[in-house]
Parts: sequence; C-alpha cells; structure tokens
Amino acid sequence: MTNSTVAASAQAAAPPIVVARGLSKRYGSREILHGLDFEIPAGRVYGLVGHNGAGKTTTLNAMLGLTSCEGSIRVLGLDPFAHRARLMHDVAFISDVASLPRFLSVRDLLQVVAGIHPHFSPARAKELLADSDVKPGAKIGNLSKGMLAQLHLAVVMAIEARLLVLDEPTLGLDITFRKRFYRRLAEDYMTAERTLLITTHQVDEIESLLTDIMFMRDGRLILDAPMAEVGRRFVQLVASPSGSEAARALQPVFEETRFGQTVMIFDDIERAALEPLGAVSTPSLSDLFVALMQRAPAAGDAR
Amino acid sequence: MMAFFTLVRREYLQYRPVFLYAPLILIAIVTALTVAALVSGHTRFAVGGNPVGYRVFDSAYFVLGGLWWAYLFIALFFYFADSFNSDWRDNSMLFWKSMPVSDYAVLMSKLVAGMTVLPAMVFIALLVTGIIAGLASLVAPHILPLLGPANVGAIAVSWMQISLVALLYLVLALLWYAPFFAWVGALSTAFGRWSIPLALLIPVVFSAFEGAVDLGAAPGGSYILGFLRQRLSFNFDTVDLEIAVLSGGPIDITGLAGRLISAVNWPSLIAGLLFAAAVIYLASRYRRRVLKSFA
Repeated sequence: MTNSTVAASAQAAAPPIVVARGLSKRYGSREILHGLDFEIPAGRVYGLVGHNGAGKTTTLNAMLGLTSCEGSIRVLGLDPFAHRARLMHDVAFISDVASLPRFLSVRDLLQVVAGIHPHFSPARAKELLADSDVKPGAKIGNLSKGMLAQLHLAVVMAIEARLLVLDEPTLGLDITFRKRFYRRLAEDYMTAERTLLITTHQVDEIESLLTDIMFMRDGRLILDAPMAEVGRRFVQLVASPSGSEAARALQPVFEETRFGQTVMIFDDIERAALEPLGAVSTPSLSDLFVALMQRAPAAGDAR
Repeated sequence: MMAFFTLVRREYLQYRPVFLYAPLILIAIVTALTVAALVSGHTRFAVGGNPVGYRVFDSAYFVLGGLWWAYLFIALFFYFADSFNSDWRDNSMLFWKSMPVSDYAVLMSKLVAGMTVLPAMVFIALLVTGIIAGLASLVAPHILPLLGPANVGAIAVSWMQISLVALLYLVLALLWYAPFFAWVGALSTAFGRWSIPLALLIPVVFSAFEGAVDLGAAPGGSYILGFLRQRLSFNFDTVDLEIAVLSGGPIDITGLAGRLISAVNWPSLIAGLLFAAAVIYLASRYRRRVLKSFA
C-alpha cells in the first residue's frame, strides 16, 4: 500500500470529528435550523456556504458550544455546549467579527494565550508573524483589519488543534490579504490529522482548498458532498441555439441567459447526453451555489 | 491553575489605568502636596491645636489610609460594574470563548483580580505614601519649631504598626463587602453599566413591596433595608481605630487585631461569601448562554 492509501484508510477508519443528528435551533417561534444531519470526517477541508441568515453561524455556534440546540451534536465525541472549555483544547476558531482583545499588545496576547492554552506554541506564532507587518509591541486596537486577520490566523495556527473553524475569516479584507491568508492556511497548517471548516461568501477563492462542500439555505443543508462527487454529479451546459429546447427537456436545475447564451446546470445526468446540445463543463462553486440557492428544496437534498 | 493566574493577569492588563496608573498619579499628587506644604510653610493643619506631643506622622498616615480606602472602594465598585461586561463591550467575547477556560473561571478571575490585585496595589501605594509622610514628619520640625523633634525609629515603628492594622482591616473589609461587589459584577454581566443603578434599585423595589405587604411593621420600615444597613456597616464601632491609632501611646497590635477579628460577625461573613460565589455562578450561566450584549 502507498502512503496516501494508508492515510486515506486511516481517515476512513477514524471516527468522524463532528456528528450532527436532527440538529435544530429555535429563537422564539422562529426555527433557524431544521433538523440537520451531517458528519465531518477527520483530515477534510469543508466549506460551508450559504446566504446571510441561512443558519451557517448558528450551525458553527452549535459545533463550538456557543449555543444550545435541540437534537444531537458531538464534536470529538463531546457535547460542545456541556463541555466547551474541554473541547477548546482541541478546537480552534476564528469568528466572523474582529474579536481579539483590543487592550492587549501583540506580545501580551501571545503570553496570555500561552498561559491559558496548553496546546499553544508562542514560538510558532512568532515564527508565523515574522514575515508579516504585525510587530510584537503593537497594540491590537491600533492594527489594521489585514493585520488583525494575520495575527488571529497566526494565533490559531500556533494551536495544535484537531479542528479549526473559520467563520468568514477574511471578511472586509482586500484580495491580497485574502490570497495570502488562504495560501498560508493551505501551505503551513493543513495536515492529514487536521480538519478545517470554513464559511465564506468568496467561494471561488477557497474552491481549490476544499475537499467537501456544504450548501445551506433557510436552515437546511441542500448539498453535502465531496468536491470530487460535485464535479461528477453537476454538469454545466452552454446550450447551442438548436439544442436549447432539447436540453430544457432534460430538466436542468437552473437556467439563465448570460451574454445572449443559454446556460443550464444539471444534477445527476450523463455528460454524453448533453454533449450534442452544446459546450459541457463542470460548474464553478459560485455558479453551482447560485443555481442551487434558487431551486426549490426537494426530499433527498444534502446527500 | 496557571490558566487562572493568566486570566487574573489579563484583568490587570486590561484595567492597568485603575490598578496602577491612578495610584501612581495619586502618589505623585500626595508627594507634590507634601513638598509644597513644607516649602511654603503653610502647615496650619499640622500645627493646629496643641502641637506639642501631637503625633504628626500618625495622624497624617491615618488620614492617608482613609483616603486610600475611599479610592479603593469607589474603584472596586466601578471595576465590578465594568469588567463583568467588558468582553461583550469590546467584542472579544468570542475570542475568550475560543480558549479552554469556562465562563465561571473567567468571572471568578475577575472577582479575584478585584479582590486581590487592586487592593494589593492600593496597599502598596499606602505604604509608599506612608514613607513620604514619615519623611515629611522628619523634616517638619526643622521648618516648624513648635513641633517636637521627630524620631526616625519611632516613626518607623509607627509606620509598621499602622500598616499592619490597615492590612488586617483591609482584608476583613474586603471579605465583608465581597457579596456587594459580586452582586454588582453579576448584574453587570447581564445589564452592563446599568448595574450601577440596578444594584441599588433592586433592593429598594423589593423593600417597597415588602412595605406594601407588611404595612411598615418591620423595625425601621423594612426587613430588607434593615438587613442591608446592618450588612453595610462594618460593625467595628467597638474597636474604634481612630482612638487606637491616635491615642498617643504605643499601639497594641495584638489586642487591636484580636478586637478587629472578634468584632466580625463570622457566620454573616461566610454567608456573604457563599452568596458571592452563588451570584457569580448564576452570572456565568448567563454568560454561557448569551453571545450578544444588551449593554
């Protein structure tokens, strides 16, 4: 067996990092999550994508023990809400708001985290910050958004965590910082033992990083699949003028006109059936997202 | 334990202006006032009445002690009203929640920082201003001949004795008033800075209901207010620190300490500490569930 085969079979044998069954959340009479069922295996990079208010942050909060929910959720075998402090030994996260304490200096922050977190390496954090614009003596309250993101990423990357959760980590950053952020994550952090879950609106920027994708709409998972399966399952067709009607008869999940061309997206169809009708390709994640967000939910979604 | 000490340290870092800078500024003001008074010779306060045999240092140090305690208790009140809500206010709540420490540990670290670090800093400041007062007492007779010659040894012994009395008084007073500070802190967790009026308003409202039901039959009009009045007074009248310190004779430290300790209503003090732990626990349950602040 090759090393990669051994690693893959070890991953398959390992228990999932996250298991959710019938996960629901209600604020008053309004139901935010509608009985989610999903598993996140070890060593994967998951993207959780959805519109604002789709329930992404609530799902993450349930996983991180920040909110109580109905149904069942286990992260690393623990009930997150009952055992948040214990869970945080092995889970790190960056929330969607700049949450670093502004009154500390960078140096103080590293010392404080080192004193609190047994799996944090200040030397590693300093190493990660060495080629950044963040200086140890700088006060966090005076850092720019980009510097804050670099600092927070360095802090979580210096934690030996089994699960890293990033909720809109690059919100408000310019393209240079975003590219640098994800490159660093991919190159310096990911290993076969680590699991990463990212939510972002800039899906195209993380597409190459992901092994799995989950789409959420109105508190429901409408897609939960490995990227390889997404590539096989969904097909985009730019229909030729003569092929449009025939393609429409094959029931695309989405159709739109772009620059005078008819573009359709199909779910679970043989490519060979579409090839005579126009140019066939795999849709980008953002195209697929737009397509699936507009489709009415059906039984069996999120498979 | 290391994590808990680090949390206490982060309180110090966050409230450094109150814990360190303000006492340093007050020390500088006391020093400047003392020097100005000595240089200008405007020391009527010190030589008022019968200056012969009057213990300038003791009275000065005693007054300084009173001022420092006033600063400490005002600062503690505002510290508890502010710090228990600060993680929401500065948007760092989610960062602290990403650390492997419970909400109860975080709030207890705030309580412990308020009850140890700030008092320790204020006590050190008292000692320093005591030394300044001692030096001034040594210099004063050269400027004001009415004063008898000061004795370095006597001032040093007096400084030590009054400091010990102040330390004991401080420890007992902090333990005695801990439930009030915990009450303000717990309210702050839920209501932010509104905890300042609410800390007073809630007992007043309850006593008003009590009065409406009881029609003022309780002694003093309200059992609740009566209890709070009793609980707010330190019950050290029997000790009379002022007489003990300013009597002119040597201070009987052992006797004074014994009287201070025996003046404490220990069952009430212990009940107060249990109340403090309970309200902090309830506040931690609230903090565990609520991510957004209404403050």
